[in-house]
Amino acid sequence: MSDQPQLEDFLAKAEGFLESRYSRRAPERGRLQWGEGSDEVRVFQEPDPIEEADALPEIRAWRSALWDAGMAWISGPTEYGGDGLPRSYEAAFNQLTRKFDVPGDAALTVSLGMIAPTILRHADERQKREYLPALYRGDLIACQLFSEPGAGSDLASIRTRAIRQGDSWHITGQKVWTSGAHLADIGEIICQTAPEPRHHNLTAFLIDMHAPGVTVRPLRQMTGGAAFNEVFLDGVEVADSARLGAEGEGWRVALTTLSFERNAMGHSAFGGVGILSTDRLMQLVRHSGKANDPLVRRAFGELVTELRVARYAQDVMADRARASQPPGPEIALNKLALSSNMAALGEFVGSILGRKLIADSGEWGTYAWTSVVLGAPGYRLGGGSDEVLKNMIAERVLGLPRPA
Amino acid sequence: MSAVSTRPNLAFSGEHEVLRNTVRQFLAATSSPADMRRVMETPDGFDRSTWSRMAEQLGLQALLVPERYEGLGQGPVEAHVVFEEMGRALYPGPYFASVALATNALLCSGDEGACRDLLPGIAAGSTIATAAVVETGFQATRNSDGWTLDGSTAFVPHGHVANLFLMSAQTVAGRSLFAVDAADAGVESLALESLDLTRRLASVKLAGARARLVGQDGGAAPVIEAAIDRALVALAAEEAGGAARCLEMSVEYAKQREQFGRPIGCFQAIAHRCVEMLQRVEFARAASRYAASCLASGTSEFPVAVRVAAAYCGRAYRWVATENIQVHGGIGFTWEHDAHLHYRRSWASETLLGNTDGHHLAIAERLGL
Repeated sequence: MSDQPQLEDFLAKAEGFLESRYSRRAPERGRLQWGEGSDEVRVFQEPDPIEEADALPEIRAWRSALWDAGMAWISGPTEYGGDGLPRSYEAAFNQLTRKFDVPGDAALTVSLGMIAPTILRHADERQKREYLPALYRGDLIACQLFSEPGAGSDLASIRTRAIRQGDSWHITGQKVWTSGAHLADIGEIICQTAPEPRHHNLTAFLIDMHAPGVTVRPLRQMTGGAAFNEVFLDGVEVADSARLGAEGEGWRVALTTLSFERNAMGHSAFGGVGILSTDRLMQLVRHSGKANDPLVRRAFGELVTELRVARYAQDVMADRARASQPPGPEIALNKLALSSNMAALGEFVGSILGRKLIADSGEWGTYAWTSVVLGAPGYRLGGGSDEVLKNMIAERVLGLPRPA
Repeated sequence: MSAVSTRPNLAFSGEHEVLRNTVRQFLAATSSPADMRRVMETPDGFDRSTWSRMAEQLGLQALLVPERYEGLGQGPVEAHVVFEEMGRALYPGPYFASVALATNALLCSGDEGACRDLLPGIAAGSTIATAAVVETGFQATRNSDGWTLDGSTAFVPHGHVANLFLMSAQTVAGRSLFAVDAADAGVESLALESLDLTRRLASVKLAGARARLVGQDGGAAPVIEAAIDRALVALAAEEAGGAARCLEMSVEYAKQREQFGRPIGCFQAIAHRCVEMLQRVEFARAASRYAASCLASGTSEFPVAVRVAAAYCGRAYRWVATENIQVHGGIGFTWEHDAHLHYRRSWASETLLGNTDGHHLAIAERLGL
């Protein structure tokens, strides 16, 4: 890569691009102003469906502008529309974007964080050329169709069938816990294509979510919101050219996506932003009038310790990956930390707020924290339950024998 | 432009790995569990010839000493690597005392004269130094020909074998740092029966002991705070290393020990416990590594990062050392098994320079709560 620009030059160009389209965030805007604006504490992406649909064109415009500027897939291979630059460039660019009022693209987490990297690893040449540019440009949004009512932790026992008829397949079954299915254009689906043997009887496809026979229904979870969907498939016809990987190789494809999912989930485990921000927690303590209570101060220090160490661990794994040591199954440790940190956060705010957590008194920044308490159990389940991940780590990282 | 991340790079370099292997091999050859059992029973509690060879062959005592004081001038990240290995091997010599405590206290004092006179001996390993900087009751008096110290303190790491003490003492002007030669007639040090069999603590009594003022009279409070922070980085690395060793012991045993006709690692109660141990080990290593990198690059994040590392690693090591005994079952509760040596060390380390509650309170304080 003799024509690789210097990082400084690359960032200067990127800053010029961002400057030309988006306004700069005032430095204090990142800081929370206690009592002002919304006190919403977002644990899951549960946007109002109408607001969400309204925001979509803006997100697509942002992706398409990034694409034109050569910044949509900085570390991706050039033959599929990437820019072929080191991951450190991508990380620096992402950091730079936080200074500008760019659209939040949480709606693309599954597309770009999980499905695109799976396609890059397992798809054939034609599929890569067809889908990767479209996903990174924001023309297509993807979802992941794995879990079923009868196949949660035991994912390999899925029952959704794909039956071959000549050059096409007919898919029938039901998927559940599908984030973003209502926005998605395509879905990565794992189907049973043979009765056995286990783990070798599954095949992955990329299906059109707008095809006849696909029905998406929002799934309301215990928080009251609907971050996920149920997806019903009734004889959905799929061309064999939409198969992702070889017949019977679906389990390997699924494992790839799952490892990217854990990576993406763990990323929110750090203590720098959003609901886990130190600043927000300190303001909560101050406004509760308990900043001088030694018990509260100790508990605060303890929570900060756990949140920060999760971030340090994340950073260490990221730097190992940057030194071209790929992230292995130990990446799931970050997800385990996220679930325990969400629970710890709930404990902490509960002890600070007391009764203000159990009924909405109208006081700003109090009852809103119930979403943490209600969302925390979901984090122990999402991305593989903590228990299933522990089985996986025991076997693949520690080399312990499989459970009998 | 500050667009590029200012956080330190956390990947270890090839040189770090060479250093790690060198130290690990040296400790395996000189300080095996069998060696440790032998020296534990001796009055010194460590092997002086190993200490000398460590200085002559590897120069480890000189690691943090700048080159102008005849040291190697290495940084906190290299020290992190070495202390991890020391903690892993439960190295019983006065390395933490001399390097983490005394060397850091001298360097933080900024006293050029004291550094010039005292650090070369520490670097060469000919001086065994230690420091008593947490809550000592020493009083310093200025006489016509210098200072004398009176009082007594306990809990001084390797105080029974030290040639040189760095002591915190009160003067009229306030808290001050002094250097005391152990050969002085007014010095009496005695090894205490200690929970940690591989790092013995001592009592030190000073009666009119002649002392050298290090740094400013009355100006030691920030020096000592900085020195303790640096020593905590080393302690956290030791704890991470010790925890990593405990995990290895558990995993090896879980693969090999059979009950109910299969290896106990097949049972989720054991396997999941091992994964939780792994998580604490990996996170402890990351936390101490991060703190070391912050110290190396001098970022403003250091004061919080060091207490986060101290709080996390102390508790993590004790938890992992405790669970290691449980995974081993009855054999882990015997004197002959090494599990208790780590367990003892973990309890001692967690309180040596302030306990976990204190670190949590310090984090709140330092973040401005």
